[in-house]
Amino acid sequence: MTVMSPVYILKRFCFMLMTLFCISIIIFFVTMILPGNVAQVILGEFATDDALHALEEQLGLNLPFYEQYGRWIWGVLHGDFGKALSMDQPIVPLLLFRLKNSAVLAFFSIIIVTFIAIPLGVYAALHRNKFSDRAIQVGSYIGISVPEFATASLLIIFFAGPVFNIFPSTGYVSIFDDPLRALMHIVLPVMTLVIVLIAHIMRQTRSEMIQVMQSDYIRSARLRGLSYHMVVYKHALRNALMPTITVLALDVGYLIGSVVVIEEVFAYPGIGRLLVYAVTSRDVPLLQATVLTVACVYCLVNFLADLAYGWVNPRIRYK
Amino acid sequence: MSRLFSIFSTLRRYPSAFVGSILVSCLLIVALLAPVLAPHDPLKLNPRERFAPPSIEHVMGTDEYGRDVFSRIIMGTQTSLGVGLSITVICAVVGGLIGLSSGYFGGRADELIMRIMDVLMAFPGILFALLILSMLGSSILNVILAISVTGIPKTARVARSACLNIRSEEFIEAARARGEKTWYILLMEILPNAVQPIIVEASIKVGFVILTASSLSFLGLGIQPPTPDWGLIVGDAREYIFEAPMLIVWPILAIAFTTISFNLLGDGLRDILDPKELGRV
Repeated sequence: MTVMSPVYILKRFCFMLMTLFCISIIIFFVTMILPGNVAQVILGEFATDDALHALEEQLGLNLPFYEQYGRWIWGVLHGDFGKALSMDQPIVPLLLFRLKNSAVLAFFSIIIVTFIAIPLGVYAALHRNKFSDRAIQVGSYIGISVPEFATASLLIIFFAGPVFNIFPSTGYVSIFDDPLRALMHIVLPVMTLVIVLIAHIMRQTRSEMIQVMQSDYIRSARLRGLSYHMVVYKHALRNALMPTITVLALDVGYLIGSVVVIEEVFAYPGIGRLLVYAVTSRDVPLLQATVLTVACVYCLVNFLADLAYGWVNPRIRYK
Repeated sequence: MSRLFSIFSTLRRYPSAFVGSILVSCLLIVALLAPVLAPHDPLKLNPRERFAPPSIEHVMGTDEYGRDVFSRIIMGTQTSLGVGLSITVICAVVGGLIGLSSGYFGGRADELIMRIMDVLMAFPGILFALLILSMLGSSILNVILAISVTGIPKTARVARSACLNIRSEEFIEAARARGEKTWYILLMEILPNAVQPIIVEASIKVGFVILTASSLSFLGLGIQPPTPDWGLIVGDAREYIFEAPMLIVWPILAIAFTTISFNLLGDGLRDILDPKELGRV
């Protein structure tokens, strides 16, 4: 395989930076323009006008929009998100800790999903319209129709309830302090995430695989006398997995929504829960920081997925 | 009558559309007749009957305030469908108009609008919704607004690509040569020919939108109590998850039933109309 053109990578990279720049403006704009003034949030509803003005001046809220944005983004680029209003502590260490916890969750889920969903999808495609395919189809249909909080709640009732009290329903233990208990704590959140994602990825793999298996080059490969296994695993699978990679990446946006809900249900201290906390406590600096961080992760994953897609599919490389 | 029959015979050839349309009709009927169907007032507190088990009086029992769960689930149909359908309609209308005009006018404006849509799409939907809700506060209207904003870019893209396909058709040229107004061409010539993919996209979206809205309510950031809403009921019942697990199971069944119905209908419509534009977006 030829090496990917650096121009393409650079172009995609610049596009990502541009997108992030626009997103940062949107975040700042929305949090600053919409009602719900930061000074008001800090001082409460009954603050006097004088106190509000003083604090606004101190926080630079009376400056023009572009100057406020400039100050904020300058700090962000130097790794400084400011202080969380509601906790009175710097945001960055908190953010990193939460991000790490969420990454642990996502890492285990994605590994497990890849090893379950893709083989199941391929299996369903190769046994199209047989009973096993129908069963897999119905299962995944239910999977995409049930919200995460429902799956999570049902899992808690089953596995953490009075009947089978196997796993803890909430909380978190650092993996460095007590690996076994840490794993016990993430079993249920990971299980929920896996159930949600399996349905998506399985459906995608199945439909791509069916499409590829019907294509001319698979037929001609079979006609040339290549064995069924050879055709399936060397030719079809590879081409079916390309779009699946993109869907996996697009699913990260969906995954973020799921993570927010799941972390909240299991009281798991990840970035999703931090986001909900920032929203409910109306902590604007914390909100800006978490939203921007999550958006960064999302854009980065999309960028990497694009590269991976270009790497397996040379046709789109020079577009 | 014959038209109705032809719709019916088309539906019969597509089982998922057939089942989906029946289930969705049932849901719509329940939503419209909810005040009549609900045996009790869904908001009426009854502290002496907290967590009552299912009985003839209370088919699904009562909740932590002694409210009748069955009535709350029935009334929740109204909330869920109301929110879900209004978001879908807003997305279809606003996104459709943006996409159609962007595709029709082309040039710099089109370029700019589509770049903006790209950026919005590069922003995970739930984040944007949370951002808007955190600033505007949580209420039914704000939930509708927040989720609509996140859904519009996709619809705009679908509408735009449908518009591009017919923009250079002869009947459009003819209308322009006749000296028709731009709005006339857009609404009377282009829209009827581009409406199919927009409808399909909208119908696929309903289930997803209902899920998102119920997730926001569950988090306590969407619809506020005491409005009977399925996501909210699950969120409130979390405290009593082991004492009264069925309090969580009933609304979950309702949500799953609703999304499955709408997904079946959406998938079925896509199979019937088969707009290729959707695949390209």
